[in-house]
Amino acid sequence: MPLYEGLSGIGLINEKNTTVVFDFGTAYTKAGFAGENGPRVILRSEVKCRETGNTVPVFETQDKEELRHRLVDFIHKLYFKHLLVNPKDRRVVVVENLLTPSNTRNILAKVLFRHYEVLSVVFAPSHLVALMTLGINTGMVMDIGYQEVTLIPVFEGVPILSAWQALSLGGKAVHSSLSELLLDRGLSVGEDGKEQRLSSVMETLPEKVLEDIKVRTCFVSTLERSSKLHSNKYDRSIEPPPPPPSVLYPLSGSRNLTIPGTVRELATEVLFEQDRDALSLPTIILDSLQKCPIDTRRMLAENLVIIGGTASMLGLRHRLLAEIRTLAASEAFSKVVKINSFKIHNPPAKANYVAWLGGAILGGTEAVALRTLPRDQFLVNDRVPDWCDLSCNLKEERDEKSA
Amino acid sequence: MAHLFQVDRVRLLCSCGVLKPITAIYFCRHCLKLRCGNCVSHEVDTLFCPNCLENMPSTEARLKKNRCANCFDCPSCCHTLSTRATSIQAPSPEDPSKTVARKVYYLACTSCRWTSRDVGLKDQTVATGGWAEQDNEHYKELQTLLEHYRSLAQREKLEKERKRFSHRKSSYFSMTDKYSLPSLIGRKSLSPLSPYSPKGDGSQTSELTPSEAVEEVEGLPADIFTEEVNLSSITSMEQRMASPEWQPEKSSDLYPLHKHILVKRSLRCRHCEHNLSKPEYNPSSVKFKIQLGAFYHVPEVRMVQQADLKWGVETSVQISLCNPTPHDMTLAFLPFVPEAHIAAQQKGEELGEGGSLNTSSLVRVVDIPVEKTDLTPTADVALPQGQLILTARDDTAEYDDQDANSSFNDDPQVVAWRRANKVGVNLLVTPQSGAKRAIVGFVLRYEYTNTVATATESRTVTLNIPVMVDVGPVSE
Ligand SMILES: Nc1ncnc2c1ncn2[C@@H]1O[C@H](COP(=O)(O)OP(=O)(O)OP(=O)(O)O)[C@@H](O)[C@H]1O
Ligand SMILES: [Mg+2]
Ligand SMILES: [Zn+2]
Ligand SMILES: [Zn+2]
Ligand SMILES: [Zn+2]
Ligand SMILES: [Zn+2]
Repeated sequence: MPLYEGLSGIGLINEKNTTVVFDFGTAYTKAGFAGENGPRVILRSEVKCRETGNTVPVFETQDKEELRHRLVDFIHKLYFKHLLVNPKDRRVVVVENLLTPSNTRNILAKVLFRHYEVLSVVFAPSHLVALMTLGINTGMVMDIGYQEVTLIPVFEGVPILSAWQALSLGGKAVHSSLSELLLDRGLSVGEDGKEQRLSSVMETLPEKVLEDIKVRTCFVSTLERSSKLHSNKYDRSIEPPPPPPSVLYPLSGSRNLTIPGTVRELATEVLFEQDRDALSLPTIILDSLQKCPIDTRRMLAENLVIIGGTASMLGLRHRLLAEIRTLAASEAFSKVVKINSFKIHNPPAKANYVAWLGGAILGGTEAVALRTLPRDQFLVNDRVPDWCDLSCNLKEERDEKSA
Repeated sequence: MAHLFQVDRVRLLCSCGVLKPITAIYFCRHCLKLRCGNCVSHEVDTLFCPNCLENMPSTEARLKKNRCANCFDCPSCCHTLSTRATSIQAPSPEDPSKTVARKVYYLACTSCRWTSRDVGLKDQTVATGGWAEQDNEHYKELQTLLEHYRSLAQREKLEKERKRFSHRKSSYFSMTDKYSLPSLIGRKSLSPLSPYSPKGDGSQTSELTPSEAVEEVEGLPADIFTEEVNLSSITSMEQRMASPEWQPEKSSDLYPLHKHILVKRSLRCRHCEHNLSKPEYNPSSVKFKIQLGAFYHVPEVRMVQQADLKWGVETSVQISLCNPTPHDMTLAFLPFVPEAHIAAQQKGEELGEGGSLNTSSLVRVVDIPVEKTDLTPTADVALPQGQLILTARDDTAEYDDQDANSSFNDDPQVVAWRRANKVGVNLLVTPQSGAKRAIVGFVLRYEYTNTVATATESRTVTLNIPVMVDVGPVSE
């Protein structure tokens, strides 16, 4: 049945011109059509470099022209290998983070309008449209992706921009923590069965291997075990809980890697550690609540929405809830934010495409027409005008910060 | 010697500012300009399944989500699955007490040996089709959501139109009133937000029950701290993303994937909307109905011999020129000044394509940004003066070896040899000191006999094509 589902039955949208919906991520890009129940494709955001021919991440460049070229090639692939429709004169919804630097969005718009001559583009703020998948309009929306985690509270459909939070914690942070742990504690097993410290055989593990190890063997431990492990670091007399079983993981060639159980459990701790600058996933939720008007806090705390690929990690949302509750009850917070009820939503989609799905719902309605940026208007001075950028000030603030 | 045939050594400057080898460039006979993949408009021409080579009309492709109904890919390794037949003993339909042999079919991967039986899918009684489709467990819910937001949006649109009629002035206020949280947002006007938060009285539209937040979510499986990990039972990211809607985490949940279809693309000049390339309809054909490759219209430049190059030493380098057209061609070398060329180019575009044959300037062209390519040469070149004649390509003459040198009055310093429609030319190259490779630039100016001109227009036009040649590595 889903193979034949779609908007055609409803006849509201001219099927010949079904709107294309993109959610460009630093790690994965989701693409498909408005009104459908899931993206047609979730693709690594990678292209072949025009100069060197190597595969490179689309968004990892500071150079504007290079980013434009990569986007041109990447979007070509999306349309002609996956969506198989003509980009020209067709509408597009781009689900994007409100915190995207305006430069990036201008380049993206330039590519869509100039290279692909799309009819119009709607920039749909990911945190807002994520709520549409739940049929609600108030929620504390946290997107834990690859490059970073971003948090924006939304009250009655309006983002409380003054309370936004962002941290470079996400898939990437887990990968580097995992890499560090493995190089230190992992054992490389040669053909002859001889064991060596991994760091004595190789200096780094490829990102894809790290991701594979993460996805297939790692998980987010419980708060209880984590605190025991943590205390053990300082006080060896406290018995650490027995580690989960280790895993023998095949590396390239005939080498194997023994992944100790502790590594499987500890790699994700980086998301919750508070000892560095006291910022972690749970703290930014409470910090943000603190910045929200008092009469909105309760509603927000009872409508947590955790999206983004990293939120799929086994045990993550459970741990997050436990941490928030403990933290909220702690002395430091209980004085300022008197909230003790936290609730969480279960969106009707895999965590990594919730925002995309929101964009697909929005794109399937006539609401898009009201905020659409038509090609002609963009071409006037090759900039996305402020009116369709509802966080103009916020972005400037952020651009300054990162500059 | 293989490197001499590396197409990348000689590159032409496309009208969009990108350098590409002649094999990657098209020549628009209507605009009389070079075009390339970067500056043409790509279009989906035909859709087909790469396995069964069946064409698929676009309406059907849309309905089937770009997947072939009959062919499957392995969900484990993405290789094409094949259908296996086997016979089983089953109760006879006439007399259930007896068993008869029946043919059944299942899917198997010849590459990783995955089979549809591995994941508990029931064998089929027919050879093709019959496999149930996977459902999205939230299908109903999502359909309701979509309808809910559709009616909200519809209502909002009507409201907006009504307001525009009644009081133009108050529309701004009505918006902000409705979503009045100005203190929260502070600096920005709220109106653009409204489509995301159509509040209103939900009573009319709601069969929708908004999602309820819950106190608790599923924690870790109880045995995670004790159970050994069986890697092969857990899927990789690739396997999960191969079915994005479901993202199975366990290998036992893998499901055969309908094979994704492919497209044949056609290319269109953005300036005159003529096709530059159009493939044949038949999926198994690799031929084209239209293929305006530069290869057929622009004299081809090739390196002939590798010379030893040294910094600051003038060296003679031989290149060959080949006329691919069935008309004789007069040709000259001009120095290439990148800045001048770019300026001329821009002026040409502003004047509406200057000398091009595109008379219908009704089409409004959306230009792509001008590409900034590094066009600085690393070697100086002394170009031959005067004109050369390149004889027309004559497929019958290809085989007689008669030397036609005498009839052309060529300067022997410049022309090394002549053979049919080819000519060998010596260039004097002086690599700049410090350069790793000697790159020279020149403009090929030639008389092109155009093939689409009407009788009233002149049959030949002068074209200037900038060429950059990587002459080779330089030593001290
Ligand atoms: N099931 C899963 N288990 C663990 N990690 C996962 C899972 N699915 C995705 N991820 C991880 O989530 C990250 C990608 O998430 P997502 O697709 O939301 O990021 P993105 O949108 O590309 O990044 P960003 O939003 O930061 O630009 C990757 O690091 C990936 O490894
Ligand atoms: Mg993302
Ligand atoms: Zn070009
Ligand atoms: Zn097929
Ligand atoms: Zn297989
Ligand atoms: Zn043209």
